[in-house]
Amino acid sequence: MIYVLIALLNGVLIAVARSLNGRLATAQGAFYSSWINHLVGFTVLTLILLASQGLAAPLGAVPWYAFLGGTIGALYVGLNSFVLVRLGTTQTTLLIIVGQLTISLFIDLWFGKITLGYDLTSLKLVVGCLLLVLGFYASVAWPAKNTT
Amino acid sequence: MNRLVVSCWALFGGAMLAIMIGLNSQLATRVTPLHASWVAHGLGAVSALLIIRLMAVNKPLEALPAGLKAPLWSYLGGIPGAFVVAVAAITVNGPLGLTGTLVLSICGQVLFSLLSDQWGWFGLLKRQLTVQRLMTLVPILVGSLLIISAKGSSA
Repeated sequence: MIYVLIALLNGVLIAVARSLNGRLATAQGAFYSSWINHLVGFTVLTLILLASQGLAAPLGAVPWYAFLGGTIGALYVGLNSFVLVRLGTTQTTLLIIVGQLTISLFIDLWFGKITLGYDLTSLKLVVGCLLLVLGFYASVAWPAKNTT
Repeated sequence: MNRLVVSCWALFGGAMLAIMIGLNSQLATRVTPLHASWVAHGLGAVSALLIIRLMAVNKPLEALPAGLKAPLWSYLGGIPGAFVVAVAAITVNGPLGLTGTLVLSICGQVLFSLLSDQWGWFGLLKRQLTVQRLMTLVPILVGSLLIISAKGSSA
């Protein structure tokens, strides 16, 4: 049960970070908020590491492409803030999840981690994808009026 | 700006997130998850600065009822963000595994977003839950849970 609460907290932390960055972006720009987000996160993690295991890490053994995650993260946070101010937190969250699951599914299919066939797993994947398309269509085609 | 264009940027952002998670977990197989997050944040900060300088995209977005000036607390988004990795490491390695963590994380994100939109928390616009918004929320949530459960059982 405690694990369930911790996993929910994980989602809440993501949502809070998303909202704070979105609020900052309304005044200072989407990529400025991405810069501040990474700078503050880097500072906090530096302090945590200094207080625990130290900063030293065997980075020489890391393949070059694994370092691209930071750059792609900078793009992600910027886009996230850009969209959040225009569509709101819930819509942004939902559409980000659609993009995230679709691409990770494609990556898994591409690398053969998942193979489609006539089984229940494939049926769930196909129905799941159709529901994502339906949700995306509804989001674009029937925008709700702001009830401010 | 056109709603479709903004929505497509959101999808693209989600794609970036998936690729980021994949690359950062590659990094985390060589160093600890905390070190991986540390390195990714450092390189992310440099990259964001380069994006601003090279592409001149640092334009403020839209005026809000709360006023344009960013309050001090809005600069602190990096703090919850930095703890996400550590919190995820606890549950992924616990009884919930990756699938359970992902499902509950999505539920946590959506529930908190709904509350936050409903009352306009964080100085953002109020966006109350309507039937139209449910037409987006329900299929995406059910579809996501189907996909995650299918992937969990195939892995």
